[in-house]
This record gives sequence, C-alpha cells and structure tokens, in this order.
Amino acid sequence: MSLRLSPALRHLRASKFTCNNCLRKKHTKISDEVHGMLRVDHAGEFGANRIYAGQMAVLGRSKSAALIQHMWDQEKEHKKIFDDLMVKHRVRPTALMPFWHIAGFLLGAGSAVLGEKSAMACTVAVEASIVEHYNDQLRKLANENPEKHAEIMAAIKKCRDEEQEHHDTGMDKGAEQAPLYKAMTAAIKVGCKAAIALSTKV
Amino acid sequence: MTHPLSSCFCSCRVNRGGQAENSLFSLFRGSVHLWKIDRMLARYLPLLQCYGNFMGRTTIIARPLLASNFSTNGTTSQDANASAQSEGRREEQVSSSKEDDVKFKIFSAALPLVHQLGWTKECLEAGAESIGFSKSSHGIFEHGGTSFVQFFHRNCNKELRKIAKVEQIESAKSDELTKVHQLLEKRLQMILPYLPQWPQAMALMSRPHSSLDSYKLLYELADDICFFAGDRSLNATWYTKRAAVAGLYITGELSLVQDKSANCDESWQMLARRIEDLRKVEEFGGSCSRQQEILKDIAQSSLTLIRNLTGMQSYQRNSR
Ligand SMILES: [Fe+2]
Ligand SMILES: [Fe+2]
Repeated sequence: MSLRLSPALRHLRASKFTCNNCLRKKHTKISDEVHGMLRVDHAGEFGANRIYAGQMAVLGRSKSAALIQHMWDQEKEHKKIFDDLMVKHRVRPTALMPFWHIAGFLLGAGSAVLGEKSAMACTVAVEASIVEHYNDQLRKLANENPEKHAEIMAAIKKCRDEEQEHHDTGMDKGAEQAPLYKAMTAAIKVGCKAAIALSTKV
Repeated sequence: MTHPLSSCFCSCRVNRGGQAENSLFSLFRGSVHLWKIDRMLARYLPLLQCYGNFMGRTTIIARPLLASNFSTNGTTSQDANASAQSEGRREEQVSSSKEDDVKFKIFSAALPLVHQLGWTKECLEAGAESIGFSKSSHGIFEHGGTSFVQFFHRNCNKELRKIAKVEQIESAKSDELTKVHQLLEKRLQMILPYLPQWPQAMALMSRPHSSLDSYKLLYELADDICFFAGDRSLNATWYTKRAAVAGLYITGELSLVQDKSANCDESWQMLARRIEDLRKVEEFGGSCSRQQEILKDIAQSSLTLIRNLTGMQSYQRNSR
C-alpha cells in the first residue's frame, strides 16, 4: 500500500524553517525558565510605570514633579525594551496585568498622598527589591548560557543600572525622613517579593 | 444599549446547550452596564463567554459519545510502555527522534484508514502493519486513539504555522480580525476530510486523561493564530483574544460536525458572523477609552480631596 499523506501533512517533511516557534530561520528557543524571567520583568516594569503614574497623578504640580517625570520616562523605556523581548520570544504576559495596573497606581498614589518624602520612600523600597531581583536573574543567566542570553542580559543590565539610579535619587531626596520609613519600606518589599513570585508563574 | 456580544454565541446554530447557559448570558447582559465603564473589564466578557461556551459545548456533545463507548483498551499499550521505561531514561532520550519518526510513519499510514476504522487503536495497528511494522508497535502511542487524534492536531497546528508564515507576507495589509478569520477557516478545513469520524475525535480529546493535552493543543492553536494574525498585545487583551479564537475554533468544529448544508456553507457563514460580532466588540472597546479618561479625572480629584481632608497638605508644609 502506498504511503499517502493527507493535505494537512503534505509539507511536513520538507521543513524550511528551523525555529518551530516563530518560523524564523535562526532563532534559538529560550527555556521556560527564561520565559518566566521575561514575564516577571515585563510585569515589573509595567508596575513601575503604574507607580510613577500614580505619583504623578498626585504630585503632578509639586516641586519634585520634574524628577518623577524623568524617572517615569526611563521606566517607559524599560517597558518598551521588555515589550520587544516579549514579542520576539512569544512570551505569555502575566494574567495579573489588570491587577498590577490598579495595584501599581494605588501604591504610587497612596504613597504620594502621604507626601513627597513618602513617595520617595516607596521608590526606594521598590527599586531596592527590583535591583536585587535583577541581580539574581543576571547571575542565573550567566551561569546557564551567557552567549545565548546576551541580548536579555544586556537589557536587564541597562534596567538594573537605572533602577539603582532611581534608588539613589530617592535616598538623596530624603526618603529616610518619611514618616514610618522602616515599616513602609519593609511592607513594600514584602509586596514586591510576592508580586515577583506570582508574576513568574501566573 | 444592548451589548454586541449578547447575540454573539447565543444565536449559534449548534447551541442546544440548555437553559442554564442562556440564563448565564442574560446575567452578563444585565451587568454589562456596570462593566462598560472600564474597557479592561469589558474585555473580560468574551473570555467568560468563550469559557462557558467551550466547557458547555464540549461536555454536551461528548457525553452521549462517551456513553456509546469508543473503546480503546489500553492494556497492551501500557505493557509496551512499561517495558520501554525499564530500558532506561537516557536511552529513551537518544532514541526519541527515531521514535518520533516511527510514530510519524505509522500515523501517516493509519490516517487514510480512519474512514473505515475510526480514531482507534485498531486503525493504528492496521496502519503499522501496512508499512511493515509489527502489530505491537502501536504501543508507542500511549493512549491509543487519543494519541492518534492529538498527533493529528499537533501536525495540523504545525501545518497552519507554515501556511501562516506565507499568509503573513501575502496579506500584510489586511487587518487582524480578517487574518484570524482566514487562519481559522484554513485550520477548520484541515478536519474536513475526516468529518464523519470527527465526533469521535472530539470525544477522545475531551476525555479526562487527555483533556490537559487537549487544552494545550487548543492553546497552541489559538496562540499561533493570534500571533500570526499580528497580535502584539501584552495585557489582558492577550488572554481575551486567545480565548475568543479558541472558542471560535470549538464552535466551528461543533458546527461542522452537525452541518448538513452543501460544502458546509452554514458553518462558514456562522464563522463569518461570529467574526463580525468580535469586530463590534473591538469598536465597543474603543469607545470605552474616553470613559476611562473620565474615570482617571475622578480618581485624581478624589485623591486631592483625601489629602485635604486628612491634613496631609499641612504635614507636608511643616516637614519642609
Ligand atoms: Fe524600570
Ligand atoms: Fe525604576
């Protein structure tokens, strides 16, 4: 009996494309773990954008408006970088995006309502945990395969450096003088940890 | 104002889905006035409806078919599995590509026999014999008929990816929903040669032990269609779009299976109508963005109000 292929399978054997995922000729498929990393980073930058949006909504006319706007612009750039990486590697965004949309804004606006210094304290807490998180990721990626993940690592490095800048500016602007500085930063850091754990998986 | 989706799936020809489903939809319709203040929430509606659609329909059609017992007694395949496992994991990994090759050969040989033997273990056996493999080599398909159908789905998905790649270049100018429509049609056309046997395939796919893989395949399909249609969204829309496409595919399958019109015209028309419904939802979402801006203004002014009420302004002044 002759081997007859259905129309649906006719071209299956003559595969021109090497990457099964996007059908680009040269595209190394990244692992599920790295998918999770991109997902959480994208969610994080989105959340950061929302935090600054919340702060600007309250402090839009205060003297630190220009500074917050500058940091926000940098966050927009970060998000753009991760947007591109997400699309390139076809990473599923986290299902919690609508939640971060609201939670980020509320965190930003809520801290800003307490005053400019509290807003800075919020920035310091968030950026501190994000810098730590990015360093963890860089370590993991470098251990795994630095050549393969060169592009992702470069993106994370750029973001990490600027987050560190945000952290330092926050400190300069007197974050530590905010009321309940210690309790507030501790609470926000715990929140960030939980958010990171959730966004990687969900 | 009635919600454009209210007609979307309820009017579906194949919906004999019982009144529980319909009353659920009318519940959504009633609450939609609350929901339309936010575009994001409005976008969840198709997700819920498609989910209900998918769950409701598959169980409805699968139940009688499961009862009629398409037996795939898995004892022999399980034995073969156990012996394969004892050979050691490492060896298995090395030979996996070879095994895939064997699978592919048996599968393609068995496919023309589906018309007579259905999506069964017997069909796989016959296929294996016809190309000179031993009768027991079907054991590499762990679940007999289920693996057969899943293999078919996987290969159709692969094929669609290749079609989509070409399509993307050719019809670069047509909009996203038109591309979704084209790709869905192409994908549904792939099952046309096996239409008489397709209810059996659907029943196999909705069996408990295979449903997880079935969902994965459906997700893969929806994801591919959205990606190649040009969807680059990275928010909740990502989910609603894929859910809508998956729902459309399932609706299309069910419609085709029951279609008695020439060339399945009724099903293709139904699909086109559903796509138009989705287009309305898109426009609907667009009109919500203005309301979202109003919402933002309200939030801003109320925050200022809270600040004044709680005396935070004076706190700030003192601390400066
Ligand atoms: Fe950032
Ligand atoms: Fe930042």
